[in-house]
Amino acid sequence: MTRGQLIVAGVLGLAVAGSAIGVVYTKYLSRKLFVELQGLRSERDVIDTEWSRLQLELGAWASHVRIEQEARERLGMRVPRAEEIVVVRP
Amino acid sequence: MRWRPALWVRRWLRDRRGRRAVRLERRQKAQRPSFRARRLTVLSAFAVIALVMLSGAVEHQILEVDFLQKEGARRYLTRIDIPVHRGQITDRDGAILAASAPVDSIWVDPRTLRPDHPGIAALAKALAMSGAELRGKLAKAQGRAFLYLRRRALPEEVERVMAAVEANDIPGVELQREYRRYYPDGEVFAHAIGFTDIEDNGQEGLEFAYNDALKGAPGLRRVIRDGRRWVVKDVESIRAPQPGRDLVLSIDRRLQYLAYRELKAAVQKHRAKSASLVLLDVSTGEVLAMVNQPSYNPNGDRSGTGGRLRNRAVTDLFEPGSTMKPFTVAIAMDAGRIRANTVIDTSPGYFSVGRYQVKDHHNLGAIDIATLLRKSSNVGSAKIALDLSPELFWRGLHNLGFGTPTAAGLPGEAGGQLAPPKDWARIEQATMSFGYGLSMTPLQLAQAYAVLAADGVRRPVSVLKVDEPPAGQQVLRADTARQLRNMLEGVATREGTAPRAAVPRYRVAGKTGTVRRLGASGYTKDSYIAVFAGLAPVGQPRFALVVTISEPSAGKYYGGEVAAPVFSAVMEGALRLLNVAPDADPATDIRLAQAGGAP
Repeated sequence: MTRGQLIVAGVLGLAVAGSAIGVVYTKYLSRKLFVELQGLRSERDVIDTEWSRLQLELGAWASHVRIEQEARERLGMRVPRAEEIVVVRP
Repeated sequence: MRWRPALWVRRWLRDRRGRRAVRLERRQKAQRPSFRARRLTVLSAFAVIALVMLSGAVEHQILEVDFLQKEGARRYLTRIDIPVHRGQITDRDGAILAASAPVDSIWVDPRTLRPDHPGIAALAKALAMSGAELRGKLAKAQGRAFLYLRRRALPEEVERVMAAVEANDIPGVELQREYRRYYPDGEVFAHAIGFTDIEDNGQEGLEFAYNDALKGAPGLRRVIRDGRRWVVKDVESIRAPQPGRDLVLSIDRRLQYLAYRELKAAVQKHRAKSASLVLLDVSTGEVLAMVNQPSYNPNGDRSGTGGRLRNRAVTDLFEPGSTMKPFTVAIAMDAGRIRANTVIDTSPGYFSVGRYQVKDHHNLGAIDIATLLRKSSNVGSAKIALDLSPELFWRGLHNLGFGTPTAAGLPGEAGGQLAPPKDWARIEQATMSFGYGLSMTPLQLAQAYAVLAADGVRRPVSVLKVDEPPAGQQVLRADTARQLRNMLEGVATREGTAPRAAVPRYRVAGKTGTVRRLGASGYTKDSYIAVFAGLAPVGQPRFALVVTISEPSAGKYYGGEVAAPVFSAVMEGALRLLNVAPDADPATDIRLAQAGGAP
């Protein structure tokens, strides 16, 4: 082997070692990100759950049965009589 | 100078030493034991081992490789479900009418929790049952590993139970995540929407009709798990999850509630058995409200008799009675057999068709068409109908949607009865003209009134929101429909049969019906269905509304007295809530503000 060949082989060997470490490192990174993704997914599920619960709660509070009762009994409101309505024509 | 032996002597001496060393070596060699056999044994043993290893390697790496790789993958690869939610159902403005929320089911391992545990009483109290009941349940389930204590419990209940478990150190009680369907508006929407069973499958109403779309399909993905069963890597998605589609109804929550409230009040006031109401948007064919009595709470007890669960507006058939007369007139006008000013002699208030007699309440004498409708003359409409050929009359009724289910697609929808014309006797043709001898659902009747309202165009009825109004089919001349509306306006006046159907500031048109119920042995004497069908505003109709109230038993039973007030209240609310401009003559009781000037 000439001197030049030796140098080439040495450089290639170093490159192999370097890329091997690179593979290990990216694998480590991908696992780490995946764990993070899993965490975010379960967080999303929790938030989804909360959201659907809140929507239902909103539905229950906004139920017309309840609103009418509140308006009539607590706020003393009523539907205006015909003579109390003014029609605005454009 | 030092003496040195002669050269040859030195050579000889050196050779002699060499010869002696060789001799010595030969002698030593002869004395050493031979290791030849041992060496061969060891070498062959090595050879055998190498061969075994080699053959093993060949077998595992080449011959068995598929099997082994599969087995390996089985140990770290798993397929896991990606769960999907059931879609929501909303009204036309996006208000939630049905949604799934995650809840917990409470279960217990009866092998762990014995019936004689001292905490049983506290647990039973949290579950709202008696101690004996819970003990009995546990005793019965001995030997099993799983027993539901409460499926889909309310969050408060879960909290209460888990607090009791904590406080009394009760073993074996666990939670399981499930989904529960909630209906915030309860019985107001019960019939239209229906409900789902404990496995989240639709059982009634739209939940049933659109179950597949609402349910969606869970996805599936392949993942790698580590030794602690934790997912460490997503490998591939086997099947993408298909989330349940949301359903947007055409129903307006405000109108539905208004209709529900008014119908319920009327049923209570008149002590009726059942009732239905359908409100249609005439320009799109959308159902804006659809309610029935009696109703039920889809969140709670859904058992009981089938009648409570039935969406009567589409499943129950009734004979339309006098509400049919406008269509008899419309078909005859369309065919050119009568005009609005045609005068028909109905005296002496009855006439014979074969062995049968058609009767009016009073002798109305010679009347024009508008009076015929306003006074609801059976004799007049029978005479008009008998002047038409059965085929023509049938074709007209069929085009209005009678005898075929609507396109609404609600489960259990009935199509009604409309016999083919070749089977008609003359008396049948006569009675059909005033609504006996054919049957329909309230929805079909509403659809037919929507045709009058939409200038003779019949559009498919839809319970889902319609973005683009369907083209529809011209089944009556626009002119005919307009004339009929004007004539039917007379019904809701002091001279008509239903002054109580009037809506202040708006022109409304409609027709009353008081129908004898068809019992097991012919028509009953004292049980009726009160009907009012109509539309508003007459000038530019927006809504068609049908109210049927079955078996009112508090004295009143006329359509004009029982059903018409419900029509008026619901129509008034609908016109006001959807900002329809008043179209009545402004001279009378309305205060008008000029644009720009406050009163």
